[in-house]
Amino acid sequence: MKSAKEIFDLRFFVRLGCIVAIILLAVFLYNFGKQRTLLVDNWTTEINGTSYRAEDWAKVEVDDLGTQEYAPRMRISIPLRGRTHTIKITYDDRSFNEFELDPIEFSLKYDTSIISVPALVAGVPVEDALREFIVEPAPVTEAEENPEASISEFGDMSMEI
Amino acid sequence: MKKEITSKDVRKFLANNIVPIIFIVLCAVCIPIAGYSGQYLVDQIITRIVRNSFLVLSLLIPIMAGMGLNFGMTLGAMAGQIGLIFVTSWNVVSIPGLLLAAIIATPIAVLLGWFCGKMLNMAKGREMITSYMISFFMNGVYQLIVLYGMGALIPIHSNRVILPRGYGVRNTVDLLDVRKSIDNFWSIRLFADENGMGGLTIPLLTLILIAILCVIIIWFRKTKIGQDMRAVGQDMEVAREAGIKVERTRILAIIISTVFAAYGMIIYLSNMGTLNTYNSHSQIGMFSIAALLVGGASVSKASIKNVFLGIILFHLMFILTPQAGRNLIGQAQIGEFFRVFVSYGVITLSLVLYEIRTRREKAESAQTLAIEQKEAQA
Repeated sequence: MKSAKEIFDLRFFVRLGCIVAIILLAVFLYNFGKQRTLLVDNWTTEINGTSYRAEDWAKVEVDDLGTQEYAPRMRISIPLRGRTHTIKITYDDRSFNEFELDPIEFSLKYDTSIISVPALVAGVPVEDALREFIVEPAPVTEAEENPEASISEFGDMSMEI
Repeated sequence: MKKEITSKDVRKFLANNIVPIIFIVLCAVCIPIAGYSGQYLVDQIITRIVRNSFLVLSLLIPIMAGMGLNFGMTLGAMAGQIGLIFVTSWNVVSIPGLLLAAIIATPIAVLLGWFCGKMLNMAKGREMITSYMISFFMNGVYQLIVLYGMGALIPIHSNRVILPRGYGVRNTVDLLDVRKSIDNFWSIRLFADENGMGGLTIPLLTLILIAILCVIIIWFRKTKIGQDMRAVGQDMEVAREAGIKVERTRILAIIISTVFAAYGMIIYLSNMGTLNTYNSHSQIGMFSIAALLVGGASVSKASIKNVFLGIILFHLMFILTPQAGRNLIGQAQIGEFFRVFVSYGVITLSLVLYEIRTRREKAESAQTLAIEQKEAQA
């Protein structure tokens, strides 16, 4: 039988180190590559019982990804990587005076979130203005609903590419 | 001194290269009939080389170890697909997504390769049919896990991956977020027009990865374990006498092949952009083996040259035959049928030729031995 000294030799620790390094790399890749979707929304919305009217015009920039102009009832989807992000909002009042909000930092907890521009303009804390958005599942075909039916008894031996 | 080429040499050359010669003739006939432009064909060939090379290269090491064509590469393809299912579900995109898929696929491929290697060691001399059957068996296990395990036992909740019933992966998983991430990371466009449109796109990073794998295979042949594999491939008993751990070496060959096949499948599917959950892997083994054989490889001998020649010829025919069929008799379907029976036919032809060659070599060596014995007696 091998002694503990023979088992826990240099080779063992090198191998262990490699496995740990790969696991750490996987964790890093997960955090670095994870994409979340943010819906920037300029609809009239109600938060905590208060209604916020859609802005007549707003310009929004998330994480230096370029600015986009918003008219009322506009909603734009922005794919984001990483957890912490910044949103910059420029809007005008009824007399066409332009105002710029201080950049607001926020973090995304959900795969798809929605952030309300009118709420942010009204000074609602970002924690309240940002909510989870549950996407309706994509419709499935009959074949997809029942994948068992598409698997033949002998496996798929077709040569379609 | 110049060596004269005899008719025997010509016959030998033809016999050794009959499959690539048939394909070269077929392609030469089909090119004018199909009527595609040269630029289109080159573009398509580059795409196919980029997509398939890694998979076909994964077949070389088991051949080197005398284990024939590894139909068990399907197991690696399954591992690659499982990796991609996870990263799609977690929404990890682009190159980090593909790298993470490779990291997830590696231990699964190692485990499956080890299992396959163990089985093949129990069926020495019948490796190909055994690996073919193992791939069917593991396909059942894969389907069980993917259909009933994922979502129910394995926590995958993404609507993009899981069926609305809450368990089971969709028939088709969209890989748009990782599609062509490697190809587009570093590519150049040649012969583009003034607007930057058209021309040929050369995905440099993918080609570099393929080149690295080729270098690794060449280097691997020269290492101790590579030499051991070649010795085992030549004669297992002699290798065992020489102190080589034959069983362990064979298992290693299959594990390496399965891991490369997993990476190859990730590259293939990322290039395609769609994962056909229940079918992609079952088709890929057959295509890769057919491509290698078309390149002039045999059950016992294959090189990197065979890989690339095979991919070019096999896929050139795939591109040409539907259009040639349409132009010739007005039906593209005839070309589809043609390429199906050619794929299976080329594997059969290669196996038969290998058997004939082996018997001929045995007969020749027996004849030589008999002559030598007669001379010794005289």
